Amino acid sequence: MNQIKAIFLSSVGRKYIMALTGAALSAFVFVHLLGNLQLFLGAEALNKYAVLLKSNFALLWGYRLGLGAIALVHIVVALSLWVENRAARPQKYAVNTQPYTDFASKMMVCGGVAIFFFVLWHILDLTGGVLRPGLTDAKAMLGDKEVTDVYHIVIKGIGHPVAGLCYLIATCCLALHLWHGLESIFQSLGLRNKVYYMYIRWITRAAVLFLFVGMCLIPLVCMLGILK
Amino acid sequence: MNLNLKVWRQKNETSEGEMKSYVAKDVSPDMSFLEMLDVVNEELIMKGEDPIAFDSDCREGICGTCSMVVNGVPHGPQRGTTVCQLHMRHFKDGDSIAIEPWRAKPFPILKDLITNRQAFDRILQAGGYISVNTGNVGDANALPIAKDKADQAMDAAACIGCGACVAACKNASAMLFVSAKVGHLGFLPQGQPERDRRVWRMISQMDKEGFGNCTNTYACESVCPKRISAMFISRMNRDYAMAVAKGECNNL
Repeated sequence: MNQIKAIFLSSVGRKYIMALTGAALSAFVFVHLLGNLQLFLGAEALNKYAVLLKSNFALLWGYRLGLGAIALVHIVVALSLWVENRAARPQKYAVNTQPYTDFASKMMVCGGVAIFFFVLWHILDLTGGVLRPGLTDAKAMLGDKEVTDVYHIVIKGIGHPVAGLCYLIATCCLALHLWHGLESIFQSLGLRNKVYYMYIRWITRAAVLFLFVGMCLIPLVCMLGILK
Repeated sequence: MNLNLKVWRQKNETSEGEMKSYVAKDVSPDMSFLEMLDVVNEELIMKGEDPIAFDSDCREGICGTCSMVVNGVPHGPQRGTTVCQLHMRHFKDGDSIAIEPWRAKPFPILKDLITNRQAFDRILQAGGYISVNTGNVGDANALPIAKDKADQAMDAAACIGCGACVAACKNASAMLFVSAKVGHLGFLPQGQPERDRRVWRMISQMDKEGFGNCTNTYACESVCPKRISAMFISRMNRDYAMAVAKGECNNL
């Protein structure tokens, strides 16, 4: 019990929680991107992948609910830290330049909130098909079976100029969030040291760059009509 | 040279403060920042006004007493020095300089630029020590310590406890200070018996004092006059996990 309190109520313990939940969410984001890059392999590949993901009901919902719970913990703990951090400096500096604090680390809360609302919209729109009726009804033939035509849903859904723009903006927010976040995971868990810190910095930044390019590519090709 | 100062003036802990403008005339580039303030104060005293109150002691950059935020940067623009070792040659004639105290809830402002930093003392009292029977000085090399360990312990021990890390942190977190104090004993054999207890107690006390939480911006190490590395924070995070896993949190 004391151990749980020492983790969930202390400053350092909550760093672990932020780092571990952040790592899990980041891992999901990369898997999600790699899965969706199959868009470039054509309709059959993506639709097959979509069928595979939905093939086991219990696994699918366990995964979704687990991920949701992790995201919820990440958000709740972040907000609790944010409230405390604001309270720790009740009177602001008259000259507040923060010259040694980089932009990405200042934008963690704003970017996180933006990502939260984007994900809500993204799930309701593309996964749930609630916001644009008829969008997710498209069917395609896979062998002799009729399946959801995820390929054309994605191209139509993300190809809409306003929707596509939202994806691009959200990608920028996510990349900025992870630019600071991925490296921070190692610091928060005590894995960063004088030997590894440069490797950690450049490998995490390369990963973020890959994510950024990949995630921008999908809405761009959909919006510009390169994939049809 | 002449400088336009904007200084935080606050009568006491409970009163409201404000930025007030002063002109520092005929400042020599060889003066230290605090000597410049001394000159301004002499003029204020001659005029019968209340001089600007600020903390200072050794004026050699080793005691950690001086503490002011110059143009938004704790200890001023020159890195790796305390404000008492900042010389006026780093400024130009006609410059505007804003001078403020450290701002953090655990460091209440007592008067003008002076803050109460006893929160740091309480953190040290919670565990920043080793328990040994004192007596005669031990033999110099009776306890062998590897050179790299000794070096790292020394790097951490360079912390003078000025609080610039708290002042610079956007969250007013004291992690760099605490990690330096945890680190310098944690590297040495003398610090091992109480290693878990130390990190557990010091972090618990740090949280109680109301400091913010670290978000890994590393502004602290950038302003630290002793250039303490934020790597010590990483090490402390690891030590804390070990202490909690070993059940140190059940002992209080």
